[in-house]
Amino acid sequence: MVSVSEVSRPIGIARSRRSFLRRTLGRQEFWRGCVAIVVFLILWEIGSRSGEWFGYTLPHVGLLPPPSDVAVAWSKVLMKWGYWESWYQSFKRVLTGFIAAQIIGIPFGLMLAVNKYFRDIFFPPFEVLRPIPPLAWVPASLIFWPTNEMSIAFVTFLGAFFTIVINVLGGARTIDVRYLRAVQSMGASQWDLGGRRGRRDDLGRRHAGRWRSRLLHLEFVYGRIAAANRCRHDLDRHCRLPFKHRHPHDRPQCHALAQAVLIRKTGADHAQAAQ
Amino acid sequence: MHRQLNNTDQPASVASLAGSTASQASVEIKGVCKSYGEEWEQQDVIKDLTLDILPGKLTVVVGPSGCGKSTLVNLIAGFERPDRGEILLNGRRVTGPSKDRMVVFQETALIPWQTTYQNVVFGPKLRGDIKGKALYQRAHELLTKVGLQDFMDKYPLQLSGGMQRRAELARALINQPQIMIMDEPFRGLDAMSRGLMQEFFLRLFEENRHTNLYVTSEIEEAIFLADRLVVLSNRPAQLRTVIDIDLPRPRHYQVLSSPEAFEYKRAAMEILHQEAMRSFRPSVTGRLPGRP
Repeated sequence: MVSVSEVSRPIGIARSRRSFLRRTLGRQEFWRGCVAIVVFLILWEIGSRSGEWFGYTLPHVGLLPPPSDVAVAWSKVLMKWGYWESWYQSFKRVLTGFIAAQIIGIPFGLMLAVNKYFRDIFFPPFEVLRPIPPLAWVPASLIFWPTNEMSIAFVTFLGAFFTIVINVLGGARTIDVRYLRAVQSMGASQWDLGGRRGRRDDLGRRHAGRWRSRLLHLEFVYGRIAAANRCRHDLDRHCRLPFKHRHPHDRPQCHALAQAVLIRKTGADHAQAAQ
Repeated sequence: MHRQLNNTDQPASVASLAGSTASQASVEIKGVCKSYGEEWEQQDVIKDLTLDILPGKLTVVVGPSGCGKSTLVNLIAGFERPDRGEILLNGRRVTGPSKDRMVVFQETALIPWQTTYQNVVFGPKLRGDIKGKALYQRAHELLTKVGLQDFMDKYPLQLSGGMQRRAELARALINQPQIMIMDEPFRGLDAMSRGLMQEFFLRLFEENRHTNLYVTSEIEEAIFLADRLVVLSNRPAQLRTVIDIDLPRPRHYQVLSSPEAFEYKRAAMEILHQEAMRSFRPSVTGRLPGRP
């Protein structure tokens, strides 16, 4: 006779424990990708040197410097301080814009997802602005912001903001109604679920420890978003969800969100352990 | 299989675990109506339903598929509000969801990114009414009683269907509900697991005599579990009959082969068959829409 516990062998345990490098090197798709890059570079080299080698310059590609020349030029600037300074400055601009987009975009997306009134008011203008490509904002951003740096960060912000909001909105909206109802019947109020404003008696009953439920709720929503967006790497490592239940598509935009969940989760776990 | 369950999954003395405030609640459903859709194409799902769910009894609701059983669950749980009529829990009107009315859903509603333990303690943590060691102890006791003490750190996807249902029972019981509402909780399990879970659930109930509303579409399951069998009509759901199931407790699966159980089954089947035929009548008579 087979018991229920024997039948249900945990799925995650059976996974390979090989190192990431060995697993990567053992994958066919990795080698296909490498071959594709090499073939692309060869074609680029041939196209760029077509005039020199065949006496006929290919249109467009023939005007580009070949990758070998690019590599030589790159090796010369590697030792220059200005080159790394440019890296630093670019990172700073992009990170500033991206972090700002997350700080504003994640709560905004959550509010759109869970509050009907907020959605009715803010979603239409959001949808009007969303199709405008970030580059089209460049002239306006030069007027808005006093420095070039801020304008660049703003354009980066716009590039990330709409994607983040749509991702968060999509993730939060796909929360199965069963989960919401389950937590409601465990005592979560409409307020906890971020829905319509709490009723008067709900507000009256709220006590000092209520922030804790709010955090739990955020964990609930964030966790669901992360799961919905299949943040494979982070969740796989920390939550140990079985790999086979993941979607092959991986959305890097959501990784930061997943990390926010994990930071919150780790904090909660430590707090619990301390208790 | 049965022996395995008997040896390892001793039923909870849930009364002690769930606390003294739990159980013995009564629910009165008075003239409840519920319909869906816009005004010009409204579909009545429940019509003038009046029913009492008695304290300490396991009331099982059966009805044809799509007759409005889950809508009834949603109304009692407070997820939806009736268009007319009222639902009273211990004399107090139900206006919204509450931990007094725990629902165990058709498919598992365990939160997939939380471990079994985290799922079980979710409610008390949310409300902050049990904390620290006491919470851990209570959760551990309940998980031990449902045979999941070794699976506390596993995620729902790492559990079998039966284990998920047991985890869900533990999660419901830790919240000390006044009434447990179970909406086809063992649906989707294979026949063997379902049989085991029914026996397991029944032993939990017989230990503790919580007021329980159990919704199912399977007559055998209904007769096996029920103190009172409520048969609903085809949509819009109305009360067809209430059958008091007077089979001895504690029950074992063999009770279903008794002449009494057979008689209950025949009576319920007869009504359900009539109701099911009502929804098929147009196609049975072969009449096409718009033709005499």
